Amino acid sequence: MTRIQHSKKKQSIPGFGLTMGLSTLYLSLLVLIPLSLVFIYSARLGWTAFWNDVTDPRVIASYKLSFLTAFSAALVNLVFGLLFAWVLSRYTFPLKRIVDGLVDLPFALPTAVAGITLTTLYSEKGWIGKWLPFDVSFTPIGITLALIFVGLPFVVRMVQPVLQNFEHEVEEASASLGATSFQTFRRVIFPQLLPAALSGFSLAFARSLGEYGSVVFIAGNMPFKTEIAPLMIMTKLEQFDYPAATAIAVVMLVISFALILLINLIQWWSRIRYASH
Amino acid sequence: MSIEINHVSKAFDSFQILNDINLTIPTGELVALLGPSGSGKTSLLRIVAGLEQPDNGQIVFHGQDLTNAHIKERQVGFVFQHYALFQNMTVFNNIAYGLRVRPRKIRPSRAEIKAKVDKLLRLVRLEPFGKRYPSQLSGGQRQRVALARALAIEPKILLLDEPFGALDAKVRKELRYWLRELHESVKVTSIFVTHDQEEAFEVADRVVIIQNGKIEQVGTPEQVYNHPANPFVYDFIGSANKFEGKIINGTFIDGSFETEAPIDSNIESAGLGFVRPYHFVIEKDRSGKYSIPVQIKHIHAVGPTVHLEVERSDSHNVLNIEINWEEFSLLNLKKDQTIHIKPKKVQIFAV
Amino acid sequence: MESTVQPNLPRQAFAARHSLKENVVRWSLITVVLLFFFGFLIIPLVSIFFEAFKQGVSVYLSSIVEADALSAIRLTLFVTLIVVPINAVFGILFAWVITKYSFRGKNLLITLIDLPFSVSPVIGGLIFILLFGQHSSLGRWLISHNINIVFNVPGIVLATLFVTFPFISRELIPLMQSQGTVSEEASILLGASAWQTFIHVTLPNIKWALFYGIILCNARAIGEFGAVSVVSGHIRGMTNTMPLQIENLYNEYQFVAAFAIASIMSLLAILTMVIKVVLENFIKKQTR
Repeated sequence: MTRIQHSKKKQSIPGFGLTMGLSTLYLSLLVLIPLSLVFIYSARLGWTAFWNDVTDPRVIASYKLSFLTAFSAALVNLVFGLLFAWVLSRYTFPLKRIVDGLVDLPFALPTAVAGITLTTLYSEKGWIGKWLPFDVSFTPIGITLALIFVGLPFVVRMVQPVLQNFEHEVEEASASLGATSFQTFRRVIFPQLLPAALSGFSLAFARSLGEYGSVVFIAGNMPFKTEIAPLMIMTKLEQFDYPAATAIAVVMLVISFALILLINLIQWWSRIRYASH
Repeated sequence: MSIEINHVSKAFDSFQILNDINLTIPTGELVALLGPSGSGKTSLLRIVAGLEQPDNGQIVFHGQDLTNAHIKERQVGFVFQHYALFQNMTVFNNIAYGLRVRPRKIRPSRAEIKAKVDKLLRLVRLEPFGKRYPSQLSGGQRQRVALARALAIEPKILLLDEPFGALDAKVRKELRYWLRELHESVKVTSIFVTHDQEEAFEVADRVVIIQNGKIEQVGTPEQVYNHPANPFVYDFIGSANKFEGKIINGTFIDGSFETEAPIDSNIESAGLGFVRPYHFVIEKDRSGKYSIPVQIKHIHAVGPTVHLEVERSDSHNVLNIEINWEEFSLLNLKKDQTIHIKPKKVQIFAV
Repeated sequence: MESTVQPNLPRQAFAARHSLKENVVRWSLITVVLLFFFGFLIIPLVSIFFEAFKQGVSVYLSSIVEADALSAIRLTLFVTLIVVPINAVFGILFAWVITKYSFRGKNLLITLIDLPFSVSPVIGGLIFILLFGQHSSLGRWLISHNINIVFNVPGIVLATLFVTFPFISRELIPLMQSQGTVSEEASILLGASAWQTFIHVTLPNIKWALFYGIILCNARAIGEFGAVSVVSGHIRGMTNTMPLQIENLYNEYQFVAAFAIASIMSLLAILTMVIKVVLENFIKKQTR
């Protein structure tokens, strides 16, 4: 409180106390207090019960699946996100405006709609599924595909502005010093894209870990095989096993917080490294 | 309204921006805060406006302590370096803004506001531009709108932060002249911040030189220019040649160069001597110990004044000399020639 | 690559060779992007409408005007109309606090505001069950006074508020940071209050970004599935939003009806994207 008092004195625009108070009140009521309840509630379970809940083999299998599919999807999105950002900011081609406009569609399209659509497309009789020699629906591949769809815009939207603001002179300087285009990309452009690309990757990964709507339809939800961690929470809730649901939620929240920390570290690191920009 | 700044200090983290500043500005005066960038002059201006709080000290307007008073109670007009015009409003609405946001009881009527804004538009010579938006104006025009907007609230004090800093040289000169005239007609106590000494000397009644958060000298432009209080001011105002040496028994010695030092002391001390580039007499042969042998390294002879870059034969330090064209052609100077130069006026400071 | 070091190669030929290679790279990259774009975005989008109209226009129309579908649409609109204005007001408030004042812990506050982005929507629903459900003393007290929050509309509103919490401030903060505080300071110095400053100076400078944020928040509020699914209790005609209705229909193998509702939601999503493209041009103008 003393800190806020101190800073209140030096604000040139009035209204700090009121607006800050209202903001933190809303933040606390809607986000902080409810989220902390997850930890409080699971702390009351006792350590053994908590440990049993989170290390149940079926739950462990769901963490593994969630982690693996989310990581693969984020990796695919990293590659294609960089590609999209590069092509959209460097080249002109037919349909460019439409591509640029619709890249964000997965943000706006309801996840349930994405879920049933992808399931239909990749089913054995679906437009795409019937041409594929392997099963997609009800397999980890299907889950990964859904997560790729959901996470595509993250890397694109983080990297694109960096590329657009990139000084052309720097590239020309590199070329004038005899570097090939690929060398210029690898040694000059890529290092500067890296923080944005990694932030986008982490955001896509975090989103994919928690994603539910687009996955449940295509996953088939077979125990030990295609059950993702958010679905485990849902299943436990439907069985009125609130302690187990909360315990799984704690593990997922800890992973999310770790990812947020990672993203902040990346941004902090890039600020120091490219402070002059 | 007079301004008193008493013992004002301000630190940001561990960096001391302002250190015990004391300054009194009588009613109606136009004062320039002059200093290199990072000297703390803008912070001082923002503290006077109430945009920032000092850690210590007082701001007193006409005998009233306003250190903790809110910006609103101070009634200052403030002109920002980059104008800070409201982009979404026309020129007219920008100027009228300060009147329209007043509480209903003291708000002028629509007609009064219009009359006042029209008058201000005339004052800043922008009558035809009332309906334009800031983005449709040139830099100089925007700056004048910013001034009119600040004057509309009839401020007791006018503060200008680098008012001409973002303009090109020609417009700057015109606006300087115009600001001087404007001040004559409104007579509001004004402080303006600048890093341009020419601007400060031309416009201000008094100049305050600031460096590293401290006031180095306060005085009229003539006082500051002709009688710099210390080596920093001498070096900062105009160009100067610096001599580093010592003072012994009333004499300043730097290598083979000697001159009388008006400092009465028997103790040997380090000293600094300054000579303006145009305060040298050029001799082909040495006339005594007060002249310095130098070699001409470069001659820049465009315009009525000729600039010579010479190297001292003893210390190899480079000096800059200015002589008029007639003298130059009479002496028939050539590159690499060795000559002797004698300072006409030396300012000595004990360090 | 060898040719780049040969000094006697004519300049023009060198340039031509270079650009030929670059053209190959350029067009193969563009092709890959377009293929991915069509495979991953366009085909799914087209197939939604294909499935919806599979049995003709009349079946399509009758699935939309069906009673449960209509009540789902009504509930979704109702929830959105509550959620978006609340989060718009607080989104502006967050952005204002973060960009117009200096205080310690600002980065922590930004991180906390963004928190719901990184938390699974399922957890976003779970927390309100823990807070207001049978298992908490607050929940039991409320239920005993006949105030049902979870498995009811208020729970859906809360879960949607949580999930869409950061959307608007996220859009506003970068813009307002780039605009700085100088205009606001000028307004305060001219005697305006904080509120007058916000209305006359700040709001006109951020209106397009605000509109964009509202559009995105709106899209997510309409489409939220996971969080709402947890708190809704799936009572048909009572607490089913459009996405939940899609799930029900799909699980009952009423594919045409499911895709009919999905098609409406897709149209909204496309509309959102169109508005987004239009708005981005306006926002760029205000960034300067």
